[in-house]
Amino acid sequence: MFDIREEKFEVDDLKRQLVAPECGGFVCFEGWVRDHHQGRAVKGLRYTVYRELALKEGRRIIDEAHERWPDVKVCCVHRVGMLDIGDLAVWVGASSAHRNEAFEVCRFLIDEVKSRVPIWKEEFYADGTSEWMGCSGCASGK
Amino acid sequence: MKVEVTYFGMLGAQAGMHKETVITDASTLEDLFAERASALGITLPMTSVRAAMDDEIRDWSTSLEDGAFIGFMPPFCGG
Repeated sequence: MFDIREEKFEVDDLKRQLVAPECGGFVCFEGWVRDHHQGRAVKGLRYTVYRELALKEGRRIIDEAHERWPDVKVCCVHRVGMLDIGDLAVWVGASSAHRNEAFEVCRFLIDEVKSRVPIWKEEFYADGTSEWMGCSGCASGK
Repeated sequence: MKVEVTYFGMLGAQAGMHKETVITDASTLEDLFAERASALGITLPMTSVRAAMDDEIRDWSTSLEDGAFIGFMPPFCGG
């Protein structure tokens, strides 16, 4: 399952979807909003999304994970909107018979989501300024 | 032809708008981006932008279709 949520969500509900008698290991990754970035004090951030495309691409990533690791159960949810320090931004969970597959697919999912799902992050700083992330080298085409 | 264009992320800030309806003579996504970047003052180079048409990522050489929904997207930054 891949989803985009506008509001805070409970990870226990997601984790329950991955519990199965044949699974002996569970791995999750949580991305949280931190209070600093490159030496600057961050007070919050906003994620925006191209929802239709993000849902398509996110579900393709889930399908690819199922193809590569047929016996692993996976789930990923990404928050959008305004987030405060400490808020959960993204949750990835994977369960499998053994731990190796669960670690591998969890890493695969978060890496693919970060690079392929159309979501953007604008950071707001304590000094009142803000900046779009991921674009520091773009102006020069790097 | 007429298309609906959405500017995502920092492109919306550079364009000064999130969406617009455009009447254009552009024949490809590349032509349309060049036209709108020039008209709106978008400075992010095309090499850092990806284009979508009707909710799928497309090559820049893709031909525009009348009534299409176009999205121009800066580098993704989720997670």
